[in-house]
Amino acid sequence: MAGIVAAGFYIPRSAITSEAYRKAAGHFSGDGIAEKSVAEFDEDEITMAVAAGDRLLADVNLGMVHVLAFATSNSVTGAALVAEALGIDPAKARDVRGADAGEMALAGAIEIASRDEIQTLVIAAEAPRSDPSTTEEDPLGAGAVALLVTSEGVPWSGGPGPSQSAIRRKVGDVGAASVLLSFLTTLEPSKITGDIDVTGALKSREYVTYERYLAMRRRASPRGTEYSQGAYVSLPAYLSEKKARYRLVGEACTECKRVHFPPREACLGCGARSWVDIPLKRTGTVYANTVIGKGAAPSEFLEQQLATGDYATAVVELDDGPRITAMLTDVEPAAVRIGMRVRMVFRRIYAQEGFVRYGFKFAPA
Amino acid sequence: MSPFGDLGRTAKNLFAEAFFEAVDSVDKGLDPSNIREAYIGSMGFGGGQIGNAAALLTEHARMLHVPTRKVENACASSGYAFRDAYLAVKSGAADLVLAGGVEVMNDLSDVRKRFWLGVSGDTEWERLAGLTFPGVYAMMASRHMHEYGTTPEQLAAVAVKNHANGARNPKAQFRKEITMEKALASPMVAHPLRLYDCCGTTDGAACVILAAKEVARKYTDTPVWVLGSGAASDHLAVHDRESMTRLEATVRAAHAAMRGADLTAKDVDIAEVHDCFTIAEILAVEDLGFAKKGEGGRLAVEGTTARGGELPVNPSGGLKAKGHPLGATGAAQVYEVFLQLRGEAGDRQVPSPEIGLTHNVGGSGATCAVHVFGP
Repeated sequence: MAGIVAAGFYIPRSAITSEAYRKAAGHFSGDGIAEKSVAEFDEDEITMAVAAGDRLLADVNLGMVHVLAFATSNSVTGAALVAEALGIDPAKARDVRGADAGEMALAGAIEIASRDEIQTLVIAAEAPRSDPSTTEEDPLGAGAVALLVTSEGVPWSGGPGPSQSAIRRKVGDVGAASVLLSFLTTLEPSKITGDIDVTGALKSREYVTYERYLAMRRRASPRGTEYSQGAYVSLPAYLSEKKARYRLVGEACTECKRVHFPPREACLGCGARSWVDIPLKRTGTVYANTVIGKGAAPSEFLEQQLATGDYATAVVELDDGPRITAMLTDVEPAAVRIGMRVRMVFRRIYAQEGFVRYGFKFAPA
Repeated sequence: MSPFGDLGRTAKNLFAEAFFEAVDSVDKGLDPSNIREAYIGSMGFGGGQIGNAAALLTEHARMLHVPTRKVENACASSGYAFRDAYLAVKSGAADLVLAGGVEVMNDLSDVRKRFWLGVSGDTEWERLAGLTFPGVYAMMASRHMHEYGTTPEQLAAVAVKNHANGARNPKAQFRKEITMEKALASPMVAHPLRLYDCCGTTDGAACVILAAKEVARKYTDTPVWVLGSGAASDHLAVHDRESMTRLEATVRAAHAAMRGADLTAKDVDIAEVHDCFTIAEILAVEDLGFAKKGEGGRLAVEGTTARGGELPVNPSGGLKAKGHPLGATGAAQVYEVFLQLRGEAGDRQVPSPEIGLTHNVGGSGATCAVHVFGP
């Protein structure tokens, strides 16, 4: 019977209690919600979908994915980008939108699995995009779920409605991901490939103040940084290296095998100019580091710095050898030390000319 | 050299002042129409005149029709302009050549300035990791501290020394001495670099005139000779370099310049080095061979590099206190060494130096030009 064979999920590391929220905001309309998860400034539906998908694909061969369905209730078109960040052909990706996008995507996946044996990776993700000053914002949490559907798997029962879910109490309303996240908690772990212990993951969260919550909530458009009048990386130039930026894919020289990251035009070892892609291990060690304070951020990162404060940047020595400069995230900047173990995460980098540039950052391993 | 600072003046105005001072300073007189080539260092002064800037500058210095061009290698632009001028003379193609540089940055709005700061690092990878130059040098400092135990006090000692020198330089941007306490209490810009570890944003211009050996004495009885010229480049991004605590471009440029001069680091009496950040001077004194690798932090603390020390470094105040108008800096270093070797440096004169060295770095070390001067 068609159903789920593998799963993964992502809940941001930060949360706010309804009590702290109500006290500071003066309102909290979310019956049955005791606390809700909070996305970082550099996270959105797309980055969380990639995080959930990456976790699922850690234990599953990429070849098993025939179709990627990306579901969110927001007006975000992201399936192709999520696919590319996961190493899936974007031609296999489709967007499903609407309040019940998660259920629609899963139902559709089960139908084509049982009828045509087509295997679908369903990823539902949600992050609030309301006006944080309104009560509409109150119940909205953030998170993502990834489910791999095949012709032989654990069938979908419909699951408990989101309002009855114990998960909702801890995560908040996560829109298109609500039903799927609840469903995840009903699955028998022994029958599913991947970590589905949502309750366990919620135990080690960091609680933020309402002030910090507002800082982490991005506003619609960056002020004054839309058009560069000096340093500038065009979108085509940026995207020409997207396998490196999205997935940490390096290049090995076909002659002398030397590995380069980021890509370069001629091998530093032997001068050859032919390459083979080599996905690098996504872990490394902080080799050198700094905390960017007032006056030292490029304009592209001014909005982020004004909202969330000083940030950490480091040269990371990857476990496969090459070094790369990257921003650090999900970490207290002053706590970063040379020698600290880090892992790659896919995040928003900056926005310019109406486009969000995505790429890698590093977070504590 | 024009005054350096936040001056509210235009690039052509500053450049003309530097140029006419250079011409007027020639002991036996010099007719500018005899200048055969002009090499002008500039980053592009905030986008004001990106194309054909050199023609605008030489035109307003009344050098109409001279073959002129802009030389751009970030903060090493006029170090390279000077090298190109030197090579033009050395090749025999021209017997009288102008090398200069200019930058105006303080007329930019805040957002625009931030788009111009850090344009000379690796834009696609370093900048998009959130860095401008304070951040890049801060990471180099973090590594130097990690590998060699260099301390914040050693960094601050460079700032204190260079401000003491700048206080005696009437053309410097910052003419105030500072204390170690003040430096160490200043706001953090990019950990571990504080405000006083960083140079300011500077407008200014500098010009130098080079003459061939055969004609030099037509213009002066006391020329300062270029004994050696060296230049080198390196990976643009620091993460691609084997070491983050050594500027390979400096090591190689210095080696070439010293070999040309048939001298060693021990022979140098005075040096103007590229101290855009305090850590940069520490790296420079090591990479130029004045201190062993890892021991550069001690020189300023122990007074070795003070104006009255064994090897005065940055008697002009350096980029730190004199100021750092990117494209003008290399030529301004030569200007200082020229004055010092001729005994014309006024209040900041070092007692009778014979051999002087200039060290000009582009960005975080992707380019470097070193020159050695003497009698």
